[in-house]
Amino acid sequence: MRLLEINNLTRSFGGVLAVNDVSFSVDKGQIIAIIGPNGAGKTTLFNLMTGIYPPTHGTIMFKGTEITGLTAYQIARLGIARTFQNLQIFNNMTVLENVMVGRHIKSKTGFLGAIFPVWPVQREEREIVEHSLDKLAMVGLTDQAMQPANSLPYGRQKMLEIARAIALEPELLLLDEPAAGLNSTETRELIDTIYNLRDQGVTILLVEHDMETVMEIADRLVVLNFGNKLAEGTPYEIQNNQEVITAYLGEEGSGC
Amino acid sequence: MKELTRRKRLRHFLIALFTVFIFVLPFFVSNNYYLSVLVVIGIHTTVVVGLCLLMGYAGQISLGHAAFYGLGAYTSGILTSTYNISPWLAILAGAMGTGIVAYIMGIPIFRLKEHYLALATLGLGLIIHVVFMEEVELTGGPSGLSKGIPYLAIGNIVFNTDFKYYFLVWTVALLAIILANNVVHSRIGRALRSIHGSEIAAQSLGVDTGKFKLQVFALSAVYASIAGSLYAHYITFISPSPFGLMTSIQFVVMAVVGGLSNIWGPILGVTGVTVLTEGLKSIVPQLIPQAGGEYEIVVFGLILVIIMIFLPEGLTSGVVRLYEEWRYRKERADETS
Amino acid sequence: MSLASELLQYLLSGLTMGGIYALVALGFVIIHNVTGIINFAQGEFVMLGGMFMVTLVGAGVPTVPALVLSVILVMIVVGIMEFGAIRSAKRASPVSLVIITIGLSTAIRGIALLVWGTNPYRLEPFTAGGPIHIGGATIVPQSLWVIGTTAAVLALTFFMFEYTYWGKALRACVVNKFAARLMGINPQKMSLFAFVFSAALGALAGIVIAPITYVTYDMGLMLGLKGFVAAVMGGLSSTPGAVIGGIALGVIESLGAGLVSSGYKDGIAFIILLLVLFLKPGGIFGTFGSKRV
Repeated sequence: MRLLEINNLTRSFGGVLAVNDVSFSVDKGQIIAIIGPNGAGKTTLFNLMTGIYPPTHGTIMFKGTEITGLTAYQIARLGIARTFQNLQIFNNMTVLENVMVGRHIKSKTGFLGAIFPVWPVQREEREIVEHSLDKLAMVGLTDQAMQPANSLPYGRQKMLEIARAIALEPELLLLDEPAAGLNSTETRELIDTIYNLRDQGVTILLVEHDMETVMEIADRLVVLNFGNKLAEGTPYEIQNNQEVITAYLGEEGSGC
Repeated sequence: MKELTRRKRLRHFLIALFTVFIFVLPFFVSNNYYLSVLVVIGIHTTVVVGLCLLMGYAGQISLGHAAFYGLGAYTSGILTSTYNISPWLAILAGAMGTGIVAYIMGIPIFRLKEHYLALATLGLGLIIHVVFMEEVELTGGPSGLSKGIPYLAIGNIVFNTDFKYYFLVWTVALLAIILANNVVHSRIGRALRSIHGSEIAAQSLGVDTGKFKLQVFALSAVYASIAGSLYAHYITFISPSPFGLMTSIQFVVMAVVGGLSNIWGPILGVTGVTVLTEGLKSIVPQLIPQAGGEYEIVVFGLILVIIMIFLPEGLTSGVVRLYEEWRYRKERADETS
Repeated sequence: MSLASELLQYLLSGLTMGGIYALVALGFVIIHNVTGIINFAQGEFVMLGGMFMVTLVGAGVPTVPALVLSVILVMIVVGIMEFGAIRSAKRASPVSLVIITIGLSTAIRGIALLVWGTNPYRLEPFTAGGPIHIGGATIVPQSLWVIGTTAAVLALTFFMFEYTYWGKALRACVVNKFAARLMGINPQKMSLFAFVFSAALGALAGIVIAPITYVTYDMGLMLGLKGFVAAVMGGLSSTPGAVIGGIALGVIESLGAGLVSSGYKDGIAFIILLLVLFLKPGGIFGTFGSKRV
């Protein structure tokens, strides 16, 4: 089943084409990686998919309905969650509370319920806590639950962002450079978490620089260069694609 | 989970303790002047609790809250004195009217950010203040409402002394604190704080940030309006001067001094600033006899600058941070020795 | 008086106030572009300029040296303020910085109250003589001084931006702060310079307007806010925009006060502010680029 379809997506910033006529699709249950040199338009693509800004041209279809032009929070409600390249942790909250915000769309309490927390409100609050603790356990942050989020080391904060994103039980999870800045143990944990999520039925789309990780985990890859789609295929096909080698892998060394 | 329950119990215990303290306090204060200061602290606390929800949790500044305070006061004043409507109904009407005004004005205002947002709230406040000054037939203009505003009463109890009014005002203020505390530790409160933490992340988690900003803006305006009504029925006379820009700034100062992201911040901030202002009013004329007017604003301004530079998170959180830093340094020193 | 001459009258008085707003707005824009700070104390620079001038002239100092000395005094006060408060808080959030400048403005106003009291002070016009009649409207000679000084100061400012090192460096910061830093321009020095320069602009505005409006300790509040409105009308980052915004605000306000209601004069400025913010947040004369996330 086609979960996500991107058709002729284009976005320009003051005349500069950050993403130019990119099309590809993602099937349910896959792990897809978007790779490309710096400035290839990978993060812009994520921002377009999550409604941070609208595309100049093109359409985005999610589960058969068009989501182009929807706002970020509307897209999140449809079941697309994401993490950020430069961390966007809520520094003014505890680790647990960060994940609890991820339960926002799965809970209902309104202003009136917040002001007067009657019994159903309290029950919902307990459910939020339990669910969030589960997610923290998945990324190994249970012991740090009550700490301020900004007291976590960088690698742990990245895992926290993942826990927060999966708290809204997305069908599609976008990870923007999840392995950047992680040491090898942390990268291992990250890969395990990603597999774990895939096994639970979450489709994962990630932008990543770390070639080793990408080639290991991705079912398919999309290669971007200067905003254009250069190639698409399995890791094996991409590694043997002459255009990709010259444009991208070539600059990282011929050893690849 | 246990830790969560423990923290919740501690909060409830502190609030209960404070409530007892508040209701016992007036029996030990015989001086009417001190009682009146405490009443004013209660009224201002109600405004500042609302403002803290807006500033500390949603991260949005408002430099126009005195206007909402004024809208409450004028609605109560005009409806009760000119139209003889029951004071309690008038308070309700003021709160609803002000909430609606804030909500509608908030729609365009909250499309703006930071500086522009501050400026728009300031502009809104000034415009409402000009209306108080100029709509002479309705408001009495600069000289104020000519007819007296009645005292509040429940049955036979008329709140016509500082002592009686104290209980009324602080019941409202405590309710304001408790309800705000409920909001902060709810789904809504977390959504608000997430906006402050990172608006973009909040949105990508499905939080309709615009809606929440508007709602909390309206809620804080309702708090201010109710406080304004209480002020009108306490003084029983109103003119535009207490509802201008300086009062708006004063509310922001109180919020900032106390610390924005803690329910005790407003009480501490309001009490600190009020005690200081009242103290200065009695001390300065003795030191500089020729001084007239609101000379205490010098100290006001300086405190604001100093706190923003050294304790930008306010007294409550700031002192905790300083203590933790000191303890950390001490531990380090102990380890190395 | 015919409608035409009435309109001319409003236009002339609008131009006078507009010149003052333009000077204040220019100061706002310079500080904002160099440091990112919205300086709510800008209006107090105007008040201080007027107060120093009145005091010096009252002490028998001739007009020209008094004027120079007043401007220098305000520059020193603002320099100390930048050095003492703004610099220590460079890492504060935008909201904290707004609150800091509000605090500074309140403190300056309070000190002025202690020093000069609540009485309004009057300064003699720079040149004697009765009102001048132009096509049915009248204008006091001091208004010509205001308009002339504004024009001269603006010309001088743009000349400085174009031909002096400090001016070019300041302009570089205004256009692109990051690039300016790469070019070896010290942002701390530029911040001090921006504040002191804006202080001079404000002080001059206060001095030339003193004979027309009287000087009071609290005159800075409204003037500062109106200057801010003018700067926002101009887009907040454009120097010509600030000047045009200032003059436009002065004229609109004067027309509004004359034709609609004088009581709502102050309201008009802020209604314009809200309209500009809501409808054209990039300013009437500014451009608004989309930001990359």
